[in-house]
Amino acid sequence: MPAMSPTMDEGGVVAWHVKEGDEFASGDLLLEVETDKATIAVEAQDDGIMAKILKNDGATNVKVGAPIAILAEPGDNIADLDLAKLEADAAAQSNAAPAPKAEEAAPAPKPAPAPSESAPAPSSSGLFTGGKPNPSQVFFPSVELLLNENGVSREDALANITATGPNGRVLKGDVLAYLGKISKDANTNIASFIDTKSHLDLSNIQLREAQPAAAGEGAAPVEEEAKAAAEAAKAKPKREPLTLRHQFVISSTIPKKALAALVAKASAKAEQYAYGAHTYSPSDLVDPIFEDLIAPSRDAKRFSVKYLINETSTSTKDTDDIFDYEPYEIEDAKSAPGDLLTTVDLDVVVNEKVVDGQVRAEKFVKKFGYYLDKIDAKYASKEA
Amino acid sequence: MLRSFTQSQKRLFSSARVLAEAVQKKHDIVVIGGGPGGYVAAIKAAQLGYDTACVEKRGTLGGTCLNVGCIPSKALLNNSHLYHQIKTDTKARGIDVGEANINMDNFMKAKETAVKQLTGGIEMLFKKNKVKYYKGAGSFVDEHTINVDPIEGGEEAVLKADNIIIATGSEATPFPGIEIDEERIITSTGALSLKEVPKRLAIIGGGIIGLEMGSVWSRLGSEVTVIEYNNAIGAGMDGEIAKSTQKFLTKQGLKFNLGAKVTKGVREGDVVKIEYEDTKKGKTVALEADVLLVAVGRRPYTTGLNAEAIGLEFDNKNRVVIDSEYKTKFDHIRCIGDVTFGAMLAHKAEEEGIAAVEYIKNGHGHVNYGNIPSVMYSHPEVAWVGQSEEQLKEAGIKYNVGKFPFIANSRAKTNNDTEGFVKFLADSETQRVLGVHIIGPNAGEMIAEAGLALEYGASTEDISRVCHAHPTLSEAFKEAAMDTFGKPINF
Repeated sequence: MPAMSPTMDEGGVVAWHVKEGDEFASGDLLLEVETDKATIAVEAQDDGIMAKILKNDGATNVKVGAPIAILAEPGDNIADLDLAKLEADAAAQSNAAPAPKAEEAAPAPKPAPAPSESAPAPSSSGLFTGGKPNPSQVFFPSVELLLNENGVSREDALANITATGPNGRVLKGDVLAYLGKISKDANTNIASFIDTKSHLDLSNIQLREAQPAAAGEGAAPVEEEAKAAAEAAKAKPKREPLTLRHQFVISSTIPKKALAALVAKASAKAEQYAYGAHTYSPSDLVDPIFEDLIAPSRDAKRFSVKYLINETSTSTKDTDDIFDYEPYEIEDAKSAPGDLLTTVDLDVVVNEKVVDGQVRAEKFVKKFGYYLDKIDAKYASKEA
Repeated sequence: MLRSFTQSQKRLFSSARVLAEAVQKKHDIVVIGGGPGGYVAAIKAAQLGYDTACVEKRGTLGGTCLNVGCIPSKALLNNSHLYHQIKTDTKARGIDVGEANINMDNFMKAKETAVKQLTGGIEMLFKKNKVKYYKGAGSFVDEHTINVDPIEGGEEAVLKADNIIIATGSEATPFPGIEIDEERIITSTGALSLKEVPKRLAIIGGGIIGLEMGSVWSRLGSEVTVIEYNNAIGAGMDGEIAKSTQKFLTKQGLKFNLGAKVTKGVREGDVVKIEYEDTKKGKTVALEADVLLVAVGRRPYTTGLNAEAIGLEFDNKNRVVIDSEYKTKFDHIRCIGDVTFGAMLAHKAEEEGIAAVEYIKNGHGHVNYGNIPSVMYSHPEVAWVGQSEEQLKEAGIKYNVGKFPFIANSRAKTNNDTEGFVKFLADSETQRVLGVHIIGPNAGEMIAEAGLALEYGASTEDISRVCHAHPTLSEAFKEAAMDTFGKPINF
């Protein structure tokens, strides 16, 4: 299994493009290898014959350096080869030296595949050698022109060119290298150079002299704890949705049907108000146009409302436990035993994804209470 | 359960408050420092669904950049340029103006308004995104606990956090042996709020900060002398660009002493006596100034953080040691911006702030350190991104240079603002863009296109095949790209 990137330690065989016994020429596509990042085509570096495939299509988790096939030199008689022995040798060899070598000791057949141009060099070299092109890309104008001039179709380009650009982007240099107009090394060299520059250089950090206060003890368990906490944090953001719960009391007698209509109207009006109201007070620091620009869309749902109208008799005494007792509580004349009381239980579920969800939900609750209060007062005066 | 309307309201409110207070002390992510790195990280974290807090002890958010750095300096640079232009550059344009004068109070007020609006804006953004803002100095109690020592208007708090991001920034590096009083011997902070135009301003350090401040006060009438230890100004600029910059600034009246080692800087009454050693000639030169600006760079700032107590590691330049995912010794404590490695630039810190939070959330973040632009807002502006000629030579990379002067650009001509040029460095074989260096009008805005090209791995041919509007300065950009492999059309 060739190392397709410096960090790859195992891979899978997607598909072989040659069968056992097939002859192939340098540059022919041998197989597609799958890494954790991408699927990469592996080309033959030299002419040869496919002697035996050891890992068939679909094989996964093959360690880098483990033999996946045996190749013979052109002209070798495959029937003469002691494949079983070679296989054992190759396996033993790969165990001893995990990185694949271009040239194996065996004179005729050698474990495949030797790293070809599209197969990145082993990790030790640290070269950034690119990978399979991203098939969904729009080509750079330079790339498109070059392909056109040289009669390379888009499909061929995507199948055969090694892309060194970010995210599998085919660069002008990649096409030039593919066409043989510049050396492949020149192309990979510049890609590697840019790759190294794209990271912070954290090598050769010279630590400051240790401070006396440095805490050395118990470092290991602390780190484990930290890891656990970090994992917990990763899983965390799923929380219970924020719900504003309120209970409103309507003390006057209102016919059931009329009340339902009035409460529905109050809810609709309060909702309209809550969505329309400004969430900031005007000041020097607030620019309305800016606020408008960064505010979430007006149509975004800030909260959802649910309410329940209950009619209850208050004939029994309040049996709340002692913690509910508040000394400043004044007995309401309306809640005298025997009276019929109506309560509206309100649940407002806040959409926390919208930044002003909670603010607007709170505005709604306040306004809703205000309207209910008004309804209550109106009927109370009628009763009187 | 029945209770009166007022009572049920009261109960609900009071229980909600108690609950809120209990939650306040525990957060998913606490960011220490509210500068460009910290505040961006905090908002991003909140947007990704974390309960986030930000601790800042300055009293206003935005850090050095918004309070005493990028933002106020740009206000002064722009307005001083306008003044200078009115004074010197109107006649040829057919505009006759009367006497132009600086009203220093209002001049400074214009700067302060910009700063106030922008720092206040961040506070609003915190509210909008529900980032809890603790006004006070954060210090580590242990690796999961941060104590907030409140400043005016703040509240005392002990915060527990699952994740912590250190973004405490940097401060001006003092010059050994020179005592800063921020009146006659000043740092960049003092240079942003001088009460009057000094007759003679001496500046130690020919980097971006020194040259920007030198530009401001020189336009307002100061005699500016820059004393630089190295043999080139512009700290890390491409050599050719640095030389051109020096030429243009000299034309504007700034004096440069390069290869000069300052040995003395003391205030005597209302003057500052400076001595430096001219390393080329090997003699000591004495100099007098009304104000001395010390602008020799910035250093990581961790004062009061108590980071040593929990065993965080520092390198020999006092930078917090991190790995490629911004993790310190502790996996849950990350560190970004000026206080750790890399260029001390606001936009670099911002990128890292976002990336650090994304690492916490998804285990992946993106900052391309090969593509971080630098801009100096002198006139003409200087901007660059990617590699300089010096760096490429050192790395042994073969490159082509493409250049286009603004004097050949139609828009620059009509603006009568033709100083400078665009310079491309491209790989000689693949034509891949390796670096872009611009000195000229609007360079700071134009460099964004170079950043895009670098990010996508474009070749100079790709840039030259993109249609650029006519007549614009950006045509110079296109033609310079063209010059790396062929001939420009208009030169």
